[in-house]
Amino acid sequence: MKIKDQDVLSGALLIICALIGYFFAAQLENLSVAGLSAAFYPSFLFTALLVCGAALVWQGVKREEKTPLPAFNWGKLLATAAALALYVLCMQYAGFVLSTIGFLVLAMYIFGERRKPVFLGVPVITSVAVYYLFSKAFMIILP
Amino acid sequence: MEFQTLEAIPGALFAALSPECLGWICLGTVVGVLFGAAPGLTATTAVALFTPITFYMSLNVSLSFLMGIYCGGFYAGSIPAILINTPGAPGNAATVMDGYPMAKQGRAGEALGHSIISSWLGGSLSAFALLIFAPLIAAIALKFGAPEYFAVAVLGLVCIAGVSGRSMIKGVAGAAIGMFLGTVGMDPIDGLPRFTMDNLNLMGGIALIPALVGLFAITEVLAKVETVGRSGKDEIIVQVKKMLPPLKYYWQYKGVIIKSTIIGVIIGAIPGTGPTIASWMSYNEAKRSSKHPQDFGTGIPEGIMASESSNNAVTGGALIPLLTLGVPGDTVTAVLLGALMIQGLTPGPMLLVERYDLVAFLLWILLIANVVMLAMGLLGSKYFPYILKIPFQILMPIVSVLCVTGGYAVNNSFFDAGMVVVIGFAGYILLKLGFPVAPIVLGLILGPIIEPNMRRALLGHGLNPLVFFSTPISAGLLISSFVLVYIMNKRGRMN
Repeated sequence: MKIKDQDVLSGALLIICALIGYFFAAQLENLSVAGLSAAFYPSFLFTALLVCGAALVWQGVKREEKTPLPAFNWGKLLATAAALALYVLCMQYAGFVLSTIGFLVLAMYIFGERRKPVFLGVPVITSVAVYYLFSKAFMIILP
Repeated sequence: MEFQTLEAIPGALFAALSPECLGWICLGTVVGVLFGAAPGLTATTAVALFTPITFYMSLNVSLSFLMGIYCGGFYAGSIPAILINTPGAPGNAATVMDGYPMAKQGRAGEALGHSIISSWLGGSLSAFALLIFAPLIAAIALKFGAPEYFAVAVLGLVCIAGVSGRSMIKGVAGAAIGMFLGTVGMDPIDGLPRFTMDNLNLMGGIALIPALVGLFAITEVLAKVETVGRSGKDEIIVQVKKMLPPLKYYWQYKGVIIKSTIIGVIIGAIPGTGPTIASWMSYNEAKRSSKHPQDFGTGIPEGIMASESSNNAVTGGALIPLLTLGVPGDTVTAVLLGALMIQGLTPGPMLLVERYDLVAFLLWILLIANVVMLAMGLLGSKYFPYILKIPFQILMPIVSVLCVTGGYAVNNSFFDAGMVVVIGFAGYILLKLGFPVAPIVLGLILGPIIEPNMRRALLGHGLNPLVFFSTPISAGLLISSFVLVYIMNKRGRMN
């Protein structure tokens, strides 16, 4: 079955998350003697999510006019997320300035920048400026 | 107000007038105006982005910087509203109604003038409201026990869940997601690790500031990457002539400005609401009570004044529940709560008892920030069209760098920098599916207040849930929450 309604999809996702949450909450140790364990409050929240999920599914199924699913530009989204993840990873090994230059070049390309002087100037100036701003003005040690 | 508290006011003025604080207020206001004016970036994004930096500043300096951003950002959203028909933030949406038509008539300078004058008046008057009402509410809040704190937090969540999105159910679900994120880490009563996946970095919970940066700033970056190159270009009005009427001109609009300021302060002080509701309520009230309601929407000063004075009056109003109850009034104050917490302060009634000087200091920096904002608005209006021309393909990658660097800087942790990306990406998917971000953030902040108070109240009364209705205040607050859920759900269905 292909889900075509945004509320049905959102509701189904909430129900799945709530069930996974119940599973993990059930694994928590119970040290409480008074009857309120560490799992009590999270289970309460998962119940709220389950009820909200069911209500959304019900709303979506019942409604004649469907709410269309959101359109994602997955290519650009995943490319940006991957660039950000790579940036965090590279910062640990290559240091702040080099990794920032690399990230800015990549991110500006993803955002559609194509001018060569901008590709050369902005990453170098920005990374050096941010590095000195953080380390000298704010006394924050960057890698 | 006691003499001791009044005594703190002049002392706080001297602290606020120190060159260091004045410099940071000015810098903060410039940053706020830049972020507020750039469509797609907001005061919330700016405060979230720059909060990590304040960890290394003194309390006074950090508050000066952040309050400057707060005031400047709230005002500057009106610049794109007037010049390109696109509000910089949702709170400035009502300004579009009369601001853009006025600018189209060649009166952009006049529209910007009305906006800055009314923003300044609204913001400054709301600072006095903070000074007067914060101690009064704190005096009541001192009598609060666990049930009352639980009830206040629930009311805040209900308000924000109901007003921040199209669907009340998604708002409630968003709040529950945020509250769940708040449970990650050590259990506050039993001391057991929960949902940490044996990761030592999660033992202390999900760090608030990286989460806020992810939810408010990375989501903006991802939203822009999807739309860049696709969005149609609005006509930018570049000709801004200075056409500020004499100050006595505003005297005839005193009723509109004062009424809108009061609305802004009251709406701002209701936990979880914010400038969007305040500015639309004020605009509609100004239109309703006007002798010429048919002229609204054609470019009349009252429309801009009502919206902008109310929008900026939220700044002082929203600080009232933050400082007195520890419950943020809107999304920016939610981030400011994080900023106060990283300075080792816990907002709540005890803060006002022990540190009234802080409230007095906030009053002065709010007033000074409003004056700086006024000066910037009057002197810089010619240059505002240039801010709107900053290319997104350069701005957004730089914002991303600041997000990751800020996430890292709070605890010098690469894990936190990674959390910025993960939470930002997850937040964006939720946003696209129609879940508003504000309840998630408020859930994350209020969850750790709700849980221990809920469990303590239940444990102290033999697990009897009626404990939450045992005192008039908590019963009143919870009944108000249920009534609000009912009204907002009904309104949602009607819409």
